[in-house]
Amino acid sequence: MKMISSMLLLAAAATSLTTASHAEPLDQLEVRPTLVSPQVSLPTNLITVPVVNPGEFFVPPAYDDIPDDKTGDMIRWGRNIFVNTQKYAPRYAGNGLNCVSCHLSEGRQPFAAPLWAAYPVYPEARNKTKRVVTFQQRIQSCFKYSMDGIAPTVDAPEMDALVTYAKWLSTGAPVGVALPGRGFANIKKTHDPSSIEGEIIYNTRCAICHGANGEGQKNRDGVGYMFPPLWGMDSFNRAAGLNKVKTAAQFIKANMPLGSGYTLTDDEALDVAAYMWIHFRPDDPRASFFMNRFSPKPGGGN
Amino acid sequence: MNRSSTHPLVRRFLPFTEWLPMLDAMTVRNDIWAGIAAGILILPQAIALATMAGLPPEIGLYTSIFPVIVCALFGSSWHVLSGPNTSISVMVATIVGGYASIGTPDWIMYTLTLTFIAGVIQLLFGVLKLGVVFNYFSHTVMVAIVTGVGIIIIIQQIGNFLGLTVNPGEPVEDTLYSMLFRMPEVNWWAASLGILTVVTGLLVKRYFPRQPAIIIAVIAGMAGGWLVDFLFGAGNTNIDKLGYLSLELLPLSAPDFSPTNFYEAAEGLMMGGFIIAFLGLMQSAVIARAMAVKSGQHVDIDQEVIGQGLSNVAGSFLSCYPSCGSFNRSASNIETGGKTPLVGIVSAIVLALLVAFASPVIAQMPLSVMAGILFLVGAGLIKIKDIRTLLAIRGEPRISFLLVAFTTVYGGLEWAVMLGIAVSIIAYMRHVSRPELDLLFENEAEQYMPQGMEDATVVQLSGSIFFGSTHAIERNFADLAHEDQRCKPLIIAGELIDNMDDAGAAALVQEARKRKESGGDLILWLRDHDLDDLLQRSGLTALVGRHNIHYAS
Repeated sequence: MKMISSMLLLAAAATSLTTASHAEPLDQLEVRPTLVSPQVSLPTNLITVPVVNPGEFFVPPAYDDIPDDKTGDMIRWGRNIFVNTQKYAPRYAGNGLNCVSCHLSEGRQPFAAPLWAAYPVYPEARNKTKRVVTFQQRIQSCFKYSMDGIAPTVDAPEMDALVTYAKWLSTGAPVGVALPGRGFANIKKTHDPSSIEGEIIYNTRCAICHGANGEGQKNRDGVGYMFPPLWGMDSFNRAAGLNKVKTAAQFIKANMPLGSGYTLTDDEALDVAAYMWIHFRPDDPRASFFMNRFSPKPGGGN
Repeated sequence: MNRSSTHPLVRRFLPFTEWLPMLDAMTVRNDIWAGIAAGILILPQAIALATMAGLPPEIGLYTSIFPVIVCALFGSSWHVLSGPNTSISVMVATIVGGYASIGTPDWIMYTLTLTFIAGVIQLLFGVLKLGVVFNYFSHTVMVAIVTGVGIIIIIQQIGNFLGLTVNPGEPVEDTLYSMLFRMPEVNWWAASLGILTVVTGLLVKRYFPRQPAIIIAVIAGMAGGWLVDFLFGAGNTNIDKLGYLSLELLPLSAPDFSPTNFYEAAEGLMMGGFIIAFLGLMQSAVIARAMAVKSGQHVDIDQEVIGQGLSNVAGSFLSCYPSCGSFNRSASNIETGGKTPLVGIVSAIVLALLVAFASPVIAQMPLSVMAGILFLVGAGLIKIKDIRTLLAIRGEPRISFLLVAFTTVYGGLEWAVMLGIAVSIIAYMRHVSRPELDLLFENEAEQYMPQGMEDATVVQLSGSIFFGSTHAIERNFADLAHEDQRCKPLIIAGELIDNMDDAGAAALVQEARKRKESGGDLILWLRDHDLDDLLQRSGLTALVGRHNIHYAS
């Protein structure tokens, strides 16, 4: 009798509690640095600012447009993983970064490798792999190199969630078209980048957020980073796209300092990228331990 | 063993009071060592089985921690270690697969609800003292289901083993056939690690049977994986790996019965909860009994059932999926010399510590190594010797074995369990409904003949004469009629009749009437006067006459 009544109690408790493991939406009002919309500073003689006309870039759907069904659950889960990888997919993250550390504004920011421009063009042949890769395989590379972690298998549920999120962000985008804002901004190289120049620029423009030693700034609860580390063991590894000086400069030019994109010249961006490049970061997983020790670091050239 | 030291009520609700006094320095030290061994042994299996159930590996680890503790405290057996189970993992994936995408938060939510339902059903079984039901479950069916699960596991893991993505839910032969065409796509780095794991496991089992083969196989596979990555680079070998596991101290969760989530899955989850409850108890009961035979401990099967139910109910609030007694862990527990359930508690703590501190190492476990372990586990489930014995028996066991094993592999585990329950009941009914009917001759026959009788047909009838067995009896009587045309007296030596109901008596009346019509007679020998009322009521006494009914005592 005692047992039965206690069981009824348990059943009652069960119905009243909510499930902890259910996909919970991130707080909309919480201020995250990557959600700050970029402000375009006034043009001067030295700096050219691309004029962003309304309608020039593709506009992905808003958060409130996520449908209220199973697909919607999957999209929300994928967005959670994307924005807070450290909490929602710790299994695959090998360093302190989140997807959103590079794909700014939840993967919406033009010239910060926006998902809505990437999803519609895959599968595509990549120079890096010398073969046609699917979108899932592309995400795997992100996890292996930029996240310095362990790639989820192509049929992993987290992978499905990320793909669903990317597909939702690309709602209405034309398939197979290289959309404006795709990937990173163009950059013109007029001199060989100098890490010495870069150090000066870094210390004046970047160190306030990313730290004097590129260690980034942790969240107040100590889990994950508010401003990602730029080198060291908690940053991307030698095989990541941003390890290439040119790619990093392209990213920096359009997006850094955060909220003040296009305030560095092309050469300044290249210098900062070179300064980042000369520091220690995790090994290139595409080469053996010994190759990593004794061969030149990849990414320094063009 | 002194069972009277505690009040029976205390013993019922706090069964651990019985073994707590047994703990002295010696036993504690002994059990801590056994617990450490058990905790390490479960790690690879917990991860692998959770993956098979479509759940994150963390859930498998929680399931190897919390239910084990609850079962240790509230179960009856002192040696059974519970935890994730192969059949239940396959079952969970089948049931929840109808309502959510694999591995999503929804999937986990439905699994927790399923755990709760299964736990409550098991508790009901225990409270209503229905544990004895599981003694009737046919051994043949059990072997068949376990064999089928072994085959399913191996087939499911072929993809992981070779580093391929295979279509889930294909028939066995399709998966095997498609592998032939996909050989060029195989990631041979991954496959060779898998082969290394399996070969190491088999060699250790063969030449060092006392060593924990699975752990050594895992270490070999992981070391191989590390070496390959060290020499050739992880980006080139492309071996799929497990990933970093992170455990919470108290992973609170709750089954979800809210209408929006539960309504659409209610039917399947209720049915599935029952099947999982049954599947779990069936195995737990068998294991508890087997362990009791080995250790000589008296196991209260109802208490064991309550322990299982409690562990699942508690598990649904602590992010666990359904668990039950684990055979190989319990057996190795006895081998390493575990004496009290303290082993289970220690193993849970050791596992938690191991994951907390060895997470970066475990993260690098290649999935092909995990598949290799599951190959070993799956092959261990296919017990060739048992199967050969079963197949050698002509008739019923052979048919039910093939039927249930085939259903498990092709029709799905849930149907196999239901079919297994039906087959068990049918086998039991057939057994009791076939009363023994032997013809007696010579001296044996003459002792039943009344004085002066020369010639008679004497049969010995034993067992239960009830509605289920009248058909068989009537057929036997008809066969006898071919011999003697019913003109001889029929003597029924029925001292061994256990019981008889109205339908059984009516069958005898009918035979007696036919005998009378064709000039024969019917004489009945009984053990005692217990059946007199029944025979009177059925009219048999009046028909054959009181003088024709004899009593042995």
